[in-house]
Amino acid sequence: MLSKLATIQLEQRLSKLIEQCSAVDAAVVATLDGYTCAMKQRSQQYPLERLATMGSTLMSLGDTITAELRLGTCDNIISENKNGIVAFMHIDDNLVLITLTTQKNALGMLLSHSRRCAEEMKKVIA
Amino acid sequence: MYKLYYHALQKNDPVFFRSMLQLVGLKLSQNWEIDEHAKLVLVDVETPEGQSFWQNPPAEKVLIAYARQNDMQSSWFLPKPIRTQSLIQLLNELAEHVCFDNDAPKPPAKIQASHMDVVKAKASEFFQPEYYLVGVLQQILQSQEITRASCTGFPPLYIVPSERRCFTHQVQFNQINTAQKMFYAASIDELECETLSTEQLQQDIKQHHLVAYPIETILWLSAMCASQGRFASASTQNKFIRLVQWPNFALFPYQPYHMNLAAYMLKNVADVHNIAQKTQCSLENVVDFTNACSIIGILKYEQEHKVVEKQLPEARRGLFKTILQRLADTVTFHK
Amino acid sequence: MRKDQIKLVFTGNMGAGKTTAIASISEIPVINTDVLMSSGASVDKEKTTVAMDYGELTLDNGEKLFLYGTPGQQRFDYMWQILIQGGLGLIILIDNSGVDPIGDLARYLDSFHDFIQETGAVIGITHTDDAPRPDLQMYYHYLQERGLQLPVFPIDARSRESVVMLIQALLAILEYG
Repeated sequence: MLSKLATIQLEQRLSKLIEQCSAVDAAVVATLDGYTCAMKQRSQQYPLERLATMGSTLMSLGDTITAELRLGTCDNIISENKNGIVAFMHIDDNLVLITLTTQKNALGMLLSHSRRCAEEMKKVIA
Repeated sequence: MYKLYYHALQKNDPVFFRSMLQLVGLKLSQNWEIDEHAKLVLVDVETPEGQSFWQNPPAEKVLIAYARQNDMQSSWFLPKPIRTQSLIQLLNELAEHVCFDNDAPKPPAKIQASHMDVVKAKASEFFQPEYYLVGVLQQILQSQEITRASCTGFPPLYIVPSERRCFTHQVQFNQINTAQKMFYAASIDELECETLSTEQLQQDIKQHHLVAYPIETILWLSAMCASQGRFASASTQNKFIRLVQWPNFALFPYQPYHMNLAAYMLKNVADVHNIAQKTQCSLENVVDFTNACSIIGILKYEQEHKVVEKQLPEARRGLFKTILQRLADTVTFHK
Repeated sequence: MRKDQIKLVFTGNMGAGKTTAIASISEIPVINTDVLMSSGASVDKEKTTVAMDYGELTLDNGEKLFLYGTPGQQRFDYMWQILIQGGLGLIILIDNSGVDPIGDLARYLDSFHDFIQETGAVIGITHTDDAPRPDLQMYYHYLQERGLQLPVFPIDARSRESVVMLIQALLAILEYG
């Protein structure tokens, strides 16, 4: 598990993500086995802890598929839905960043901001 | 003073039993009293609690089956309802044959029968377990004495009743050959039984590198081998039967069709002919299976027939057969 | 039942041996989604399944028998409901050395209640050498209280024979039970 300081720093970084990117409605940092490390959302409407668990499932499936297909490493998994998009990506070997937008046309913005956030988080934890 | 207790007796039976014991007191060869720490325990095997206790008794207890009929084929049996004469007979025999902690050690009951009796039993159309190894094992369990059972040409079997285990040379129970089956089907006159001390047992185990097996495994196998498709009695072939729980196939050598029999007999109450027809097993195999289940105490007789017809598409049956065939290719079963 | 969907589902608590059991009969290396567990102050050495295990066996007629293992932890119960879709039946593995094996069994019987009613289930108890209690009779007593007559066998999940025995019992229930 992360230190308290690291957790605070992750939470701060998530707050910054939501402030800076209007497209991001919710963001979670989860462990590979589905526990929540940090979470933030604009309004309290999403079950983020449940999302963390399911995110770990999806991420591991993504990793498994890319390994089986010998396609390198799994960078992102994107779930495009009727009412929004959810993106899943590794922060490092142990953590996953999950971000959500209700704006169907904001995929590019979601991904770019999320990737930058993940890279910064990786440095924080390291 | 001889002592006994009871387990899982229903309603007024405990009070009735105590009264009967007092009533028959003068006609008994020894003095008896009820004591909850007694080695001897009367078990109502027609109740779920009694059945559970019967199948997993505490160490060192000698059990007496209490039921309308001796479906458990127990060496010690008291029929319901309790009659003075049957109670007197039982208690006097127990006093003579069972070794008690509060008495000087007694020699075990002689496990023997006349040669003519054995010949008759072997030729009989009915299966009488008391004339075979399986019956000998049951008697040894009741006697609570460590016993070595030998048969010429075969490694001996060491029975340790308090642990409900047997020791013998290593056996692949799923690959028993014809010769080995002869041992497990041995009749009482082919067996020589001798009690041993714990020290002697330990010595033999060490010297001969003996391996321990649960007594249930040997009971099952010896019942299967000796049964030879014979009913326990004339009336049993028309009786309605069911299982009360799955045989522990992790311990018992089995054939795939035993699984089908178990599944059917747990769900339905039927006679052996119906069971054979519905599971497409031979009558002989069904009878052997039911005899073995009876010996290990998981067979129950019922008054009424109850069969739930299961409609399964042929395609589904075919699929299961294919899966089983594929699985059988990965594992060897004995034929 | 779809022709191309013949599957058996293995479930049970963490460490009971689901992945091992599937591996013992799968003709392909088991595809698993095991990740290191995070607990306490540092990442634990132990792994847990977060999505599923997958193995397969080709039948003589060319069809495939799919073998799925569910995650053991209750948190992943959404995967349980996904994985049992279209399954033939359920194999529940319980680690007898756990803190409350019968409690664990109860949870799986509750979670898969409807599926078990529609199809069938068999129970394999692992690690009985390490922990002989609860014994089989205690499991049967519990099942009796629930009105269930499922087979319960002590098994070694590494043993192909043990796993085959479980499947044989399950198919017998599906056909005759």
